[in-house]
Amino acid sequence: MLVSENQDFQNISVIVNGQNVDKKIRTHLRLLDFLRNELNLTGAKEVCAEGECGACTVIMDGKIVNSCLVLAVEADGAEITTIEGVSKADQLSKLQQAFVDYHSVQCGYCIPGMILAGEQLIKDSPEASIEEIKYGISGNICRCTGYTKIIDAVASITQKG
Amino acid sequence: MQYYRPNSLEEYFNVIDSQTLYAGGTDLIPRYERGEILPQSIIDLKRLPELQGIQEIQNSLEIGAAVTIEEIKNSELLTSKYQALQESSIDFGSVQIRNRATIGGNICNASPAGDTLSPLYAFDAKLLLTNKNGHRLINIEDFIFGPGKINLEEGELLQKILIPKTKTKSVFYKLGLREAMAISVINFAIVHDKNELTIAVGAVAPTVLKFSGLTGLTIEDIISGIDQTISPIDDIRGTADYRRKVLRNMLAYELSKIID
Repeated sequence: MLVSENQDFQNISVIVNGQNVDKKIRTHLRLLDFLRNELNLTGAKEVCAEGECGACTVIMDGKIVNSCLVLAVEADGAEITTIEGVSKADQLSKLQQAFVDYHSVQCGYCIPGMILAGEQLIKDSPEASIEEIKYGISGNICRCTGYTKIIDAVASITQKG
Repeated sequence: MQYYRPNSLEEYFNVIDSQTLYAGGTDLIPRYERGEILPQSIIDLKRLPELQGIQEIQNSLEIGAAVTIEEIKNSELLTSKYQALQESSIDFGSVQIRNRATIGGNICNASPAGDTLSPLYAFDAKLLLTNKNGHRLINIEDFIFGPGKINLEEGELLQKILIPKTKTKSVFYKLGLREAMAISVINFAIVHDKNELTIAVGAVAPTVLKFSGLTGLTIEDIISGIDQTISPIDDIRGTADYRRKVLRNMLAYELSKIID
Protein backbone atom coordinates (compact mmCIF):
# COMPACT_ATOMS: atom_id res chain seq x y z
CA MET A 1 0.00 0.00 0.00
CA LEU A 2 1.22 3.45 -0.81
CA VAL A 3 0.38 6.26 1.56
CA SER A 4 -0.68 9.67 0.33
CA GLU A 5 -1.52 12.77 2.31
CA ASN A 6 -4.13 13.84 -0.21
CA GLN A 7 -6.96 11.63 -1.26
CA ASP A 8 -7.37 12.38 -4.92
CA PHE A 9 -9.63 10.34 -7.12
CA GLN A 10 -9.70 9.61 -10.82
CA ASN A 11 -11.94 7.55 -13.08
CA ILE A 12 -10.31 4.70 -14.89
CA SER A 13 -11.59 2.39 -17.54
CA VAL A 14 -9.81 -0.93 -17.98
CA ILE A 15 -10.54 -4.29 -19.50
CA VAL A 16 -9.82 -6.99 -16.95
CA ASN A 17 -9.98 -10.60 -18.14
CA GLY A 18 -12.16 -9.50 -21.05
CA GLN A 19 -14.61 -7.45 -18.99
CA ASN A 20 -14.95 -3.69 -19.04
CA VAL A 21 -14.41 -2.13 -15.66
CA ASP A 22 -15.09 1.55 -14.98
CA LYS A 23 -14.22 2.74 -11.52
CA LYS A 24 -13.42 5.84 -9.56
CA ILE A 25 -10.26 5.10 -7.64
CA ARG A 26 -7.71 6.80 -5.41
CA THR A 27 -4.81 7.89 -7.60
CA HIS A 28 -2.14 6.36 -5.38
CA LEU A 29 -3.63 2.88 -5.55
CA ARG A 30 -1.26 0.36 -7.11
CA LEU A 31 -2.61 -1.91 -9.82
CA LEU A 32 -2.08 -4.80 -7.40
CA ASP A 33 -4.30 -3.16 -4.74
CA PHE A 34 -6.91 -2.33 -7.35
CA LEU A 35 -7.11 -5.93 -8.58
CA ARG A 36 -7.10 -7.50 -5.13
CA ASN A 37 -9.13 -5.04 -3.09
CA GLU A 38 -11.48 -3.40 -5.56
CA LEU A 39 -12.09 -6.31 -7.92
CA ASN A 40 -11.50 -9.20 -5.49
CA LEU A 41 -9.05 -10.82 -7.91
CA THR A 42 -6.64 -12.22 -5.37
CA GLY A 43 -4.57 -14.41 -7.69
CA ALA A 44 -1.83 -11.78 -7.93
CA LYS A 45 0.08 -11.93 -4.65
CA GLU A 46 1.96 -9.26 -2.78
CA VAL A 47 5.29 -10.58 -1.55
CA CYS A 48 8.27 -8.24 -1.92
CA ALA A 49 6.44 -5.09 -3.03
CA GLU A 50 9.49 -3.90 -4.95
CA GLY A 51 9.54 -5.86 -8.19
CA GLU A 52 12.02 -8.53 -7.14
CA CYS A 53 9.81 -11.60 -6.84
CA GLY A 54 7.19 -11.59 -9.63
CA ALA A 55 4.38 -12.99 -7.47
CA CYS A 56 2.17 -10.04 -8.46
CA THR A 57 2.78 -10.51 -12.20
CA VAL A 58 -0.11 -9.71 -14.53
CA ILE A 59 -0.26 -9.22 -18.29
CA MET A 60 -0.88 -5.60 -19.31
CA ASP A 61 -1.38 -4.90 -23.01
CA GLY A 62 0.50 -8.05 -23.98
CA LYS A 63 3.43 -7.49 -21.62
CA ILE A 64 4.09 -8.94 -18.22
CA VAL A 65 4.45 -6.37 -15.46
CA ASN A 66 4.80 -6.38 -11.70
CA SER A 67 1.42 -5.04 -10.60
CA CYS A 68 3.07 -3.73 -7.41
CA LEU A 69 5.09 -1.31 -9.55
CA VAL A 70 2.24 0.08 -11.63
CA LEU A 71 -0.23 2.67 -10.43
CA ALA A 72 -3.81 1.70 -11.20
CA VAL A 73 -4.30 5.08 -12.91
CA GLU A 74 -1.50 4.15 -15.31
CA ALA A 75 -3.60 1.20 -16.42
CA ASP A 76 -6.39 3.48 -17.63
CA GLY A 77 -7.26 2.28 -21.13
CA ALA A 78 -5.24 -0.91 -20.78
CA GLU A 79 -6.18 -4.55 -21.12
CA ILE A 80 -5.21 -6.68 -18.13
CA THR A 81 -5.09 -10.44 -17.77
CA THR A 82 -4.77 -11.97 -14.31
CA ILE A 83 -4.51 -15.65 -13.41
CA GLU A 84 -8.31 -15.67 -13.03
CA GLY A 85 -8.59 -14.97 -16.76
CA VAL A 86 -6.29 -17.72 -18.00
CA SER A 87 -8.65 -20.67 -17.85
CA LYS A 88 -11.81 -20.58 -19.92
CA ALA A 89 -14.91 -21.71 -17.97
CA ASP A 90 -13.76 -24.95 -16.34
CA GLN A 91 -11.12 -25.61 -18.95
CA LEU A 92 -7.52 -25.14 -17.82
CA SER A 93 -5.14 -23.57 -20.33
CA LYS A 94 -2.54 -25.88 -21.89
CA LEU A 95 0.11 -24.44 -19.63
CA GLN A 96 -2.01 -24.80 -16.49
CA GLN A 97 -2.64 -28.45 -17.41
CA ALA A 98 1.11 -28.91 -17.98
CA PHE A 99 1.79 -27.53 -14.47
CA VAL A 100 -0.60 -30.21 -13.14
CA ASP A 101 0.90 -32.97 -15.28
CA TYR A 102 4.50 -32.09 -14.38
CA HIS A 103 3.78 -31.59 -10.66
CA SER A 104 5.16 -28.06 -10.94
CA VAL A 105 3.39 -26.70 -7.88
CA GLN A 106 4.73 -26.93 -4.35
CA CYS A 107 3.46 -24.24 -1.97
CA GLY A 108 1.80 -22.50 -4.90
CA TYR A 109 2.42 -18.90 -3.98
CA CYS A 110 4.53 -18.08 -7.03
CA ILE A 111 2.38 -20.06 -9.45
CA PRO A 112 -0.04 -17.35 -10.66
CA GLY A 113 2.95 -15.21 -11.62
CA MET A 114 4.82 -18.14 -13.10
CA ILE A 115 1.84 -19.16 -15.23
CA LEU A 116 1.34 -15.61 -16.54
CA ALA A 117 5.05 -15.18 -17.31
CA GLY A 118 4.92 -18.60 -19.02
CA GLU A 119 1.73 -17.83 -20.99
CA GLN A 120 3.19 -14.60 -22.37
CA LEU A 121 6.52 -16.28 -23.13
CA ILE A 122 4.75 -19.01 -25.10
CA LYS A 123 2.84 -16.36 -27.02
CA ASP A 124 5.96 -14.31 -27.80
CA SER A 125 8.31 -17.25 -28.47
CA PRO A 126 6.25 -20.36 -29.19
CA GLU A 127 9.40 -22.46 -29.60
CA ALA A 128 11.36 -21.09 -26.65
CA SER A 129 14.41 -23.11 -25.69
CA ILE A 130 15.18 -24.12 -22.10
CA GLU A 131 17.60 -21.16 -21.88
CA GLU A 132 14.95 -18.78 -23.19
CA ILE A 133 12.43 -20.16 -20.68
CA LYS A 134 14.88 -19.63 -17.82
CA TYR A 135 15.53 -16.07 -19.00
CA GLY A 136 11.80 -15.45 -19.49
CA ILE A 137 10.85 -16.49 -15.95
CA SER A 138 13.91 -14.97 -14.28
CA GLY A 139 11.73 -12.24 -12.76
CA ASN A 140 9.71 -14.85 -10.86
CA ILE A 141 11.08 -16.36 -7.70
CA CYS A 142 9.94 -19.79 -6.47
CA ARG A 143 10.94 -19.87 -2.83
CA CYS A 144 10.39 -23.66 -2.75
CA THR A 145 13.08 -23.66 -5.49
CA GLY A 146 10.99 -25.96 -7.66
CA TYR A 147 12.21 -24.45 -10.91
CA THR A 148 12.97 -27.68 -12.75
CA LYS A 149 9.37 -28.86 -12.87
CA ILE A 150 8.17 -25.38 -13.79
CA ILE A 151 10.65 -25.17 -16.67
CA ASP A 152 9.68 -28.73 -17.74
CA ALA A 153 6.03 -27.71 -17.88
CA VAL A 154 6.71 -24.66 -20.08
CA ALA A 155 9.13 -26.67 -22.24
CA SER A 156 6.49 -29.38 -22.74
CA ILE A 157 4.64 -26.79 -24.80
CA THR A 158 7.47 -24.94 -26.53
CA GLN A 159 9.75 -27.92 -27.10
CA LYS A 160 7.22 -30.59 -28.03
CA GLY A 161 9.25 -31.07 -31.23
CA MET B 1 -1.84 12.81 -5.11
CA GLN B 2 -2.67 14.38 -8.44
CA TYR B 3 -1.88 12.25 -11.46
CA TYR B 4 -1.35 13.77 -14.89
CA ARG B 5 -0.62 11.93 -18.09
CA PRO B 6 -0.07 14.49 -20.85
CA ASN B 7 -0.29 13.35 -24.45
CA SER B 8 2.05 15.93 -25.94
CA LEU B 9 4.87 18.21 -24.83
CA GLU B 10 2.57 21.18 -25.28
CA GLU B 11 0.10 19.66 -22.84
CA TYR B 12 2.99 18.80 -20.54
CA PHE B 13 4.17 22.40 -20.32
CA ASN B 14 0.70 23.40 -19.17
CA VAL B 15 0.72 21.13 -16.10
CA ILE B 16 4.22 21.49 -14.71
CA ASP B 17 3.61 23.73 -11.73
CA SER B 18 4.77 21.34 -9.02
CA GLN B 19 6.25 18.37 -10.64
CA THR B 20 7.58 14.96 -9.89
CA LEU B 21 8.45 13.42 -13.22
CA TYR B 22 7.45 9.81 -13.48
CA ALA B 23 8.27 7.29 -16.18
CA GLY B 24 8.47 3.53 -15.60
CA GLY B 25 7.92 3.79 -11.85
CA THR B 26 10.26 0.86 -11.12
CA ASP B 27 12.53 3.03 -8.96
CA LEU B 28 9.97 5.51 -7.65
CA ILE B 29 7.24 3.15 -6.44
CA PRO B 30 9.58 1.06 -4.23
CA ARG B 31 10.87 4.32 -2.76
CA TYR B 32 7.33 5.41 -1.90
CA GLU B 33 6.62 1.92 -0.64
CA ARG B 34 9.53 2.16 1.80
CA GLY B 35 7.82 5.01 3.58
CA GLU B 36 8.72 8.04 1.56
CA ILE B 37 5.59 10.15 1.25
CA LEU B 38 4.05 10.44 -2.17
CA PRO B 39 4.44 13.80 -3.88
CA GLN B 40 1.49 16.16 -4.26
CA SER B 41 1.41 15.42 -7.93
CA ILE B 42 3.18 13.29 -10.47
CA ILE B 43 3.43 13.69 -14.20
CA ASP B 44 3.57 10.48 -16.16
CA LEU B 45 5.83 11.01 -19.17
CA LYS B 46 5.31 7.62 -20.77
CA ARG B 47 2.74 8.73 -23.34
CA LEU B 48 4.62 11.76 -24.66
CA PRO B 49 5.15 11.05 -28.35
CA GLU B 50 8.20 13.36 -28.35
CA LEU B 51 9.96 10.94 -25.97
CA GLN B 52 9.43 7.79 -28.04
CA GLY B 53 11.33 5.82 -30.63
CA ILE B 54 14.82 4.72 -31.58
CA GLN B 55 16.16 6.03 -34.87
CA GLU B 56 19.37 6.51 -36.75
CA ILE B 57 19.78 10.06 -37.99
CA GLN B 58 22.81 10.68 -40.18
CA ASN B 59 25.67 9.36 -38.10
CA SER B 60 24.04 9.31 -34.73
CA LEU B 61 21.48 7.32 -32.86
CA GLU B 62 18.52 9.01 -31.20
CA ILE B 63 16.69 7.31 -28.37
CA GLY B 64 13.56 8.79 -26.81
CA ALA B 65 13.79 9.11 -23.04
CA ALA B 66 10.59 7.08 -22.55
CA VAL B 67 11.91 4.13 -24.57
CA THR B 68 11.79 1.03 -22.38
CA ILE B 69 14.77 -1.15 -21.63
CA GLU B 70 12.92 -4.01 -23.39
CA GLU B 71 12.74 -1.89 -26.56
CA ILE B 72 16.48 -1.23 -26.33
CA LYS B 73 17.05 -4.95 -25.90
CA ASN B 74 15.00 -5.78 -28.98
CA SER B 75 16.06 -2.98 -31.34
CA GLU B 76 17.95 -4.20 -34.39
CA LEU B 77 19.41 -0.71 -34.81
CA LEU B 78 21.61 -1.30 -31.78
CA THR B 79 22.71 -4.82 -32.55
CA SER B 80 25.85 -4.23 -34.55
CA LYS B 81 26.89 -0.66 -33.81
CA TYR B 82 25.86 -0.07 -30.21
CA GLN B 83 26.37 -3.51 -28.80
CA ALA B 84 27.50 -2.47 -25.31
CA LEU B 85 24.28 -0.54 -24.75
CA GLN B 86 22.19 -3.45 -25.95
CA GLU B 87 24.15 -5.88 -23.78
CA SER B 88 23.47 -3.72 -20.74
CA SER B 89 19.73 -4.02 -21.44
CA ILE B 90 19.87 -7.82 -21.67
CA ASP B 91 21.16 -8.17 -18.10
CA PHE B 92 18.83 -5.46 -16.80
CA GLY B 93 16.28 -6.48 -14.12
CA SER B 94 13.74 -8.98 -15.38
CA VAL B 95 11.21 -9.07 -18.22
CA GLN B 96 8.67 -7.38 -15.94
CA ILE B 97 11.10 -4.59 -15.05
CA ARG B 98 12.40 -4.12 -18.61
CA ASN B 99 8.82 -3.75 -19.86
CA ARG B 100 8.33 -0.70 -17.61
CA ALA B 101 11.74 0.81 -16.88
CA THR B 102 12.87 3.50 -19.30
CA ILE B 103 16.32 4.61 -20.40
CA GLY B 104 15.50 8.19 -19.40
CA GLY B 105 14.52 6.99 -15.95
CA ASN B 106 17.73 5.01 -15.60
CA ILE B 107 19.70 8.18 -16.43
CA CYS B 108 17.69 10.54 -14.20
CA ASN B 109 17.74 8.14 -11.28
CA ALA B 110 21.52 8.65 -11.49
CA SER B 111 22.54 5.56 -9.58
CA PRO B 112 26.30 4.93 -9.79
CA ALA B 113 25.38 1.36 -10.66
CA GLY B 114 22.75 2.20 -13.32
CA ASP B 115 23.29 -0.41 -16.00
CA THR B 116 22.78 1.70 -19.12
CA LEU B 117 25.04 4.49 -17.84
CA SER B 118 28.51 3.09 -18.42
CA PRO B 119 27.71 2.28 -22.09
CA LEU B 120 26.18 5.75 -22.56
CA TYR B 121 29.29 7.41 -21.09
CA ALA B 122 31.58 5.25 -23.24
CA PHE B 123 29.61 6.13 -26.38
CA ASP B 124 29.90 9.88 -25.53
CA ALA B 125 26.12 10.18 -25.26
CA LYS B 126 24.59 13.64 -25.21
CA LEU B 127 21.26 14.48 -23.64
CA LEU B 128 18.63 16.72 -25.14
CA LEU B 129 16.92 18.65 -22.33
CA THR B 130 13.78 20.52 -23.21
CA ASN B 131 11.80 23.27 -21.54
CA LYS B 132 9.04 25.59 -22.62
CA ASN B 133 11.41 27.86 -24.49
CA GLY B 134 13.66 25.38 -26.23
CA HIS B 135 16.40 22.84 -25.82
CA ARG B 136 19.89 22.41 -24.51
CA LEU B 137 22.27 19.61 -25.37
CA ILE B 138 24.78 18.42 -22.78
CA ASN B 139 27.17 15.53 -22.29
CA ILE B 140 25.90 12.83 -19.96
CA GLU B 141 28.89 13.35 -17.65
CA ASP B 142 27.84 16.98 -17.20
CA PHE B 143 24.29 15.90 -16.36
CA ILE B 144 24.97 13.51 -13.49
CA PHE B 145 26.69 15.04 -10.42
CA GLY B 146 26.36 12.21 -7.94
CA PRO B 147 23.96 9.56 -6.71
CA GLY B 148 20.48 10.88 -7.51
CA LYS B 149 21.84 14.34 -8.36
CA ILE B 150 21.22 15.64 -11.85
CA ASN B 151 21.52 18.87 -13.76
CA LEU B 152 17.84 19.23 -14.55
CA GLU B 153 16.31 22.63 -14.07
CA GLU B 154 12.79 23.42 -12.98
CA GLY B 155 10.47 23.01 -15.93
CA GLU B 156 12.92 20.91 -17.91
CA LEU B 157 12.70 17.30 -18.94
CA LEU B 158 15.03 14.80 -20.56
CA GLN B 159 13.65 14.33 -24.05
CA LYS B 160 16.22 12.36 -26.01
CA ILE B 161 19.54 10.63 -25.79
CA LEU B 162 21.88 11.14 -28.74
CA ILE B 163 24.79 8.85 -29.41
CA PRO B 164 27.20 10.36 -31.93
CA LYS B 165 29.40 7.37 -32.66
CA THR B 166 28.97 4.63 -35.22
CA LYS B 167 30.81 1.60 -36.47
CA THR B 168 32.58 0.88 -33.24
CA LYS B 169 33.29 -2.33 -31.52
CA SER B 170 31.98 -2.30 -27.99
CA VAL B 171 31.38 -4.56 -25.06
CA PHE B 172 29.55 -4.36 -21.73
CA TYR B 173 30.46 -6.34 -18.65
CA LYS B 174 28.40 -6.57 -15.48
CA LEU B 175 29.11 -8.45 -12.31
CA GLY B 176 25.98 -9.05 -10.24
CA LEU B 177 25.44 -11.40 -7.33
CA ARG B 178 23.04 -13.41 -9.43
CA GLU B 179 21.99 -13.39 -13.06
CA ALA B 180 18.54 -11.83 -12.89
CA MET B 181 17.41 -8.76 -10.95
CA ALA B 182 20.96 -7.99 -9.85
CA ILE B 183 22.32 -4.56 -9.03
CA SER B 184 25.84 -4.21 -10.42
CA VAL B 185 28.72 -4.91 -8.05
CA ILE B 186 30.72 -3.35 -10.86
CA ASN B 187 30.01 -2.79 -14.51
CA PHE B 188 31.92 -1.30 -17.39
CA ALA B 189 31.68 -0.62 -21.09
CA ILE B 190 34.50 -0.46 -23.62
CA VAL B 191 34.10 1.28 -26.97
CA HIS B 192 36.87 0.73 -29.47
CA ASP B 193 37.58 1.67 -33.04
CA LYS B 194 40.66 2.44 -35.10
CA ASN B 195 41.41 5.78 -33.50
CA GLU B 196 39.74 5.67 -30.15
CA LEU B 197 39.50 3.61 -27.04
CA THR B 198 37.08 4.67 -24.32
CA ILE B 199 36.23 2.88 -21.10
CA ALA B 200 33.50 3.82 -18.65
CA VAL B 201 33.22 2.14 -15.28
CA GLY B 202 30.16 1.98 -13.01
CA ALA B 203 29.65 1.31 -9.26
CA VAL B 204 33.21 2.24 -8.23
CA ALA B 205 32.69 5.98 -7.57
CA PRO B 206 29.77 8.37 -6.89
CA THR B 207 29.23 8.62 -10.64
CA VAL B 208 30.26 6.55 -13.62
CA LEU B 209 33.88 7.38 -14.54
CA LYS B 210 34.96 7.78 -18.13
CA PHE B 211 38.47 7.24 -19.44
CA SER B 212 39.21 8.27 -23.00
CA GLY B 213 42.25 8.85 -25.20
CA LEU B 214 43.67 5.49 -24.21
CA THR B 215 44.93 4.52 -27.65
CA GLY B 216 48.58 3.49 -27.63
CA LEU B 217 48.70 2.63 -23.93
CA THR B 218 49.35 -0.92 -22.81
CA ILE B 219 46.54 -2.80 -21.13
CA GLU B 220 48.51 -2.76 -17.88
CA ASP B 221 48.93 1.02 -18.01
CA ILE B 222 45.24 1.50 -18.72
CA ILE B 223 44.22 -0.71 -15.84
CA SER B 224 46.60 0.85 -13.33
CA GLY B 225 45.45 4.34 -14.39
CA ILE B 226 41.84 3.34 -13.78
CA ASP B 227 42.71 1.65 -10.51
CA GLN B 228 44.28 4.88 -9.21
CA THR B 229 41.22 6.95 -10.11
CA ILE B 230 38.36 4.84 -8.76
CA SER B 231 37.08 5.12 -5.18
CA PRO B 232 34.99 2.02 -4.54
CA ILE B 233 33.24 1.46 -1.22
CA ASP B 234 32.32 -1.53 0.93
CA ASP B 235 28.62 -2.32 0.83
CA ILE B 236 26.27 -5.29 1.00
CA ARG B 237 27.16 -6.29 -2.57
CA GLY B 238 30.92 -6.42 -2.09
CA THR B 239 33.98 -4.87 -0.52
CA ALA B 240 36.05 -2.11 -2.07
CA ASP B 241 38.98 -4.53 -2.44
CA TYR B 242 36.83 -7.08 -4.20
CA ARG B 243 35.55 -4.42 -6.59
CA ARG B 244 39.12 -3.35 -7.42
CA LYS B 245 40.28 -6.88 -7.99
CA VAL B 246 37.38 -8.00 -10.13
CA LEU B 247 37.53 -4.77 -12.15
CA ARG B 248 41.25 -5.24 -12.88
CA ASN B 249 40.79 -8.85 -13.89
CA MET B 250 37.72 -8.33 -16.01
CA LEU B 251 39.14 -5.26 -17.73
CA ALA B 252 42.26 -7.23 -18.61
CA TYR B 253 40.12 -10.02 -20.01
CA GLU B 254 37.73 -7.85 -22.02
CA LEU B 255 40.45 -5.45 -23.27
CA SER B 256 42.58 -8.32 -24.56
CA LYS B 257 39.56 -9.57 -26.51
CA ILE B 258 38.52 -6.22 -27.98
CA ILE B 259 41.99 -4.92 -28.91
CA ASP B 260 43.43 -7.22 -31.54
